[in-house]
Amino acid sequence: MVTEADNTVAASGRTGKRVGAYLRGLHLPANSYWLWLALATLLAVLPHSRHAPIWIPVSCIVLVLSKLVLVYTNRPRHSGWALAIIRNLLALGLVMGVYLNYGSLLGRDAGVGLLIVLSGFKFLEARRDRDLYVSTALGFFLIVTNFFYSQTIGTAAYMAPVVILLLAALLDLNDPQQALSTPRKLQRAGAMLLQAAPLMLILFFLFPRVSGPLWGIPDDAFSGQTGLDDIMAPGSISQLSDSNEVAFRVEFAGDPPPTNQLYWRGPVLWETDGRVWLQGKQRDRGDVKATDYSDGIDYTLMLEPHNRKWIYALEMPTEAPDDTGFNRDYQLLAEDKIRKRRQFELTAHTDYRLTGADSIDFERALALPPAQHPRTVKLAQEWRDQGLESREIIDKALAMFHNQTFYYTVTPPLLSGDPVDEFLFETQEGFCEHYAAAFTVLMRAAGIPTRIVTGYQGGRLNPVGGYYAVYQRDAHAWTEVWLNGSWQRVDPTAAVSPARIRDGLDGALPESADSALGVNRDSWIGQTLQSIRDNWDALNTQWNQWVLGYTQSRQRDLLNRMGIDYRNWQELAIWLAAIVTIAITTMGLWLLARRRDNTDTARRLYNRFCRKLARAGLPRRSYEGPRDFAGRAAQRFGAQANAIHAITERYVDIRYANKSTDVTGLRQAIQRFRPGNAGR
Amino acid sequence: MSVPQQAFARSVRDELQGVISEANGIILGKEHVIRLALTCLIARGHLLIEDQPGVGKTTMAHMLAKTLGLSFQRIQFTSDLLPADILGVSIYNRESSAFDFHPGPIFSQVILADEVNRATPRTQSALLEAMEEYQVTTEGETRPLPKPFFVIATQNPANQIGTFPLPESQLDRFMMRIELGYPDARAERELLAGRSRRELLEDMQSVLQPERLLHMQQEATNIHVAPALLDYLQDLLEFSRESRHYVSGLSPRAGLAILRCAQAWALLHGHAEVLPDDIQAVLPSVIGHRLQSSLEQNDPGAGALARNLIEQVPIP
Repeated sequence: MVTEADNTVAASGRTGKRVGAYLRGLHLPANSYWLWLALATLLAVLPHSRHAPIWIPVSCIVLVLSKLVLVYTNRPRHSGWALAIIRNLLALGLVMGVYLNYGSLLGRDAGVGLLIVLSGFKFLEARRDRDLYVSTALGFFLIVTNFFYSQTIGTAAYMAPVVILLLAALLDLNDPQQALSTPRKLQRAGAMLLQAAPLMLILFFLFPRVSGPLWGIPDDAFSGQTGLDDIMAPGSISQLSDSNEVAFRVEFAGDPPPTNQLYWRGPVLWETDGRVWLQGKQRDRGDVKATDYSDGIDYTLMLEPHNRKWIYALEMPTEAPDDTGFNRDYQLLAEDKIRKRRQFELTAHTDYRLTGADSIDFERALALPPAQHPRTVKLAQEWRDQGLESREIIDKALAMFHNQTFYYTVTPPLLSGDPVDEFLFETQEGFCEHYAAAFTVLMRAAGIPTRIVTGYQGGRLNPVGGYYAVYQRDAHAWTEVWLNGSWQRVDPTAAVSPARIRDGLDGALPESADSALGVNRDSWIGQTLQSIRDNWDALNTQWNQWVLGYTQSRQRDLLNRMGIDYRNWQELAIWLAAIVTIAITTMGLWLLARRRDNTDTARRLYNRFCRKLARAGLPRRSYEGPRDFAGRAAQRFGAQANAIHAITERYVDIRYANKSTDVTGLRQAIQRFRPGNAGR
Repeated sequence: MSVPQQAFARSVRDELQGVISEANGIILGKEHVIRLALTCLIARGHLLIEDQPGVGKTTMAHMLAKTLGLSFQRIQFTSDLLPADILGVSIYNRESSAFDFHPGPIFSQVILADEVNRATPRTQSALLEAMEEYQVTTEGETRPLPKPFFVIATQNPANQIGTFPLPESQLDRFMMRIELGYPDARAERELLAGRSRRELLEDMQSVLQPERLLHMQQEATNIHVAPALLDYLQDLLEFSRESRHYVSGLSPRAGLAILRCAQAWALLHGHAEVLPDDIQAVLPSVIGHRLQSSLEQNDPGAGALARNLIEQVPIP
């Protein structure tokens, strides 16, 4: 027996060293722990390199790798006052760096930057047990910060394995003997993640949603979002034509209207300096209203964030949903800038009359910059001098676009002189903004109040999801003329290129290839790519709708339907606490159920007995059986031998022999038991 | 758990104490090993004794048979031993014009299979089949073996010349593997000064009747096993399967063997219930030949491996 014990110690000399280290308060984890944690940290930091200044992720990675080098060259501990000073200077330098970079230590970007560099630093200097847990916890924080920047399926799918790696690191930390193999650890960590899933779902559904962001996210969070602008200049819309980004998605409740009626209304432009078109002064709605002449078309608009208040409603809505309103241009606006994906339930009437205009409107809708576009103005005046009606002038202009050699293209030649004259009489090549601007100038010069409407036109049916996706490339500009007491839509682009309005941009530009991959759209490769894209987009839409789109109002609807009624978020928090408590208790009871009988009480009492002996200097080893321990204890505390054996036998009778359930007897015997007095 | 059972367990302990003290007189200073061997016998398992030649393996087997009053046959395994030498043969009887079966040495209550790893695998498997099935099939006829049936096999360490090591699947048929080891100084002196063991064996009286042994075997399976104990056993098994210290984990059969042996061990010590202590006492012998260290070098040895397993698993 003695030789066997010696063997054990000899075979695991490392264990002995570790036990010694543990007694000195320095619990040295296995090298593999550092590897797990390093891998998880690096993977969590990596996506930040897309937006953070490169030195931030790089310095974190360098710190982590240097720790690995220290660990694997067996120099895990570095002490001494010189090193301490260097360490503190390094930490200070990193914090300073972040401050200099962002001019602050607060806010999303600076805060995340600080977290990244300091978690690398913590990793480097971690020594004690506590440090290791802190380092691991920092890893979880790093994972969370990634969702400040991206909440796509891809990010979630990427982060799940990183969480598993971190859990494996925790397992490793608590497995000093390295009894679990690597696949086992991963398997356990995965199981832990799955076990947490029910709790996660409860928190997801019940955690009180706030209408705004939880903390003030600075404006810089939303820079770089593309989309329509409130300024239109030659080339400003055509530059969107190669953008495959989705602007919004639409799901029609019934049959969708034909594509050539899909005009999604954006900002209305009134004022121009001859080249650039602006919205000008925003006015109250006043008596402007739309009257419907056809049945309503119900649809759901899922709008991507674009950092504007604009809601691209299908022409023409008659009523604004809650928390939205019309301006005088009859453009639908949200109360706040749309900074996250939002969803609106809307109704449109494709046959409508948009009425309401006062003298200021007419003045603005007829204004032209002085002494510009002389040839255009002259042409319009010729038409007016012929005594033509407004309707006839409009038709004449459209006929001119249709009959002359006008050409619809996304790459028009640069206009160096007077942009309208040069386009109308010389180049005759342009995108929708050229036609809309030229047409408006013509009309205004002919005395017909006209304004430019920007927005999107068309949309692509996703056959997988059954919804329409409207891309940035569908951005469009058309006009509205005041005719017969209402604003009427006239789209000059339709006169030049009917296909643009009927089939979308791809139909109008047959030579265009798939811009991303240079593949012909009609080939089978192009079609396969399109089908993959459709499926992916449909999946994303579900994710947006059900996961990211689970807002305050949706939460209320869902919970009310489930019979959970609450007035404010505090009440919801109480519901949440109650349900989480019930869930955890149920899970706990279920886990305990296997061992729940009155032997449990006996075990608790026996543990108390063992603690008494431990305080007297004889701790029970975790693997020591009751009779073996009793023998050892009886030898040590000879005077108490009888009591020790009696207590042990009582315990054995309850827990192992099913011979008695007399817990009280055991309790009394243990209460009376005093190992300390025995020796004296 | 009833009081009579407790009383029975005590009486068994006293009876077996007689066997043990009798045996102690012959095999000196090996009480623990003798207890293990008796445990194996009460748990209806076959025993494998592995050690150097000359430490008393054969004497041990002989002595066990004798004290328990069982019929005994010894088979010396050699490389030219054939299955029929063990199982028996049918010989044509001219008078009755029929084949008469002449049972082999296996039809005996205790078989000492000496140096079992010196026979060819074919012969080994003839014996091992009988061990598993408790019956022998020769020439299309199945014949039951006597009860109790107990095989004590001895083998020399595998690294000796001229051995066919038993494959793992066949090692598994043995419930326990024990090692005798050298006697300590005092026992050795007594051995050298005393009478020859052979003479002593011949003078020995049987202490137990075979019926009594069968009864004990039956009673051992009734020793109480609490859920708490099964929890502990399962924790041990699970640990052996999850840990990477071992090539592969313990099989369910190994788990059953541990439990049966722990029950027998408890009975042998007059207890009416199994404790983790009992499991720990039998564990090294039960799993020593079933568990392999995954360390290529520095194999810590079977005993240390089992001790390591015990120390890693806390008692729930």
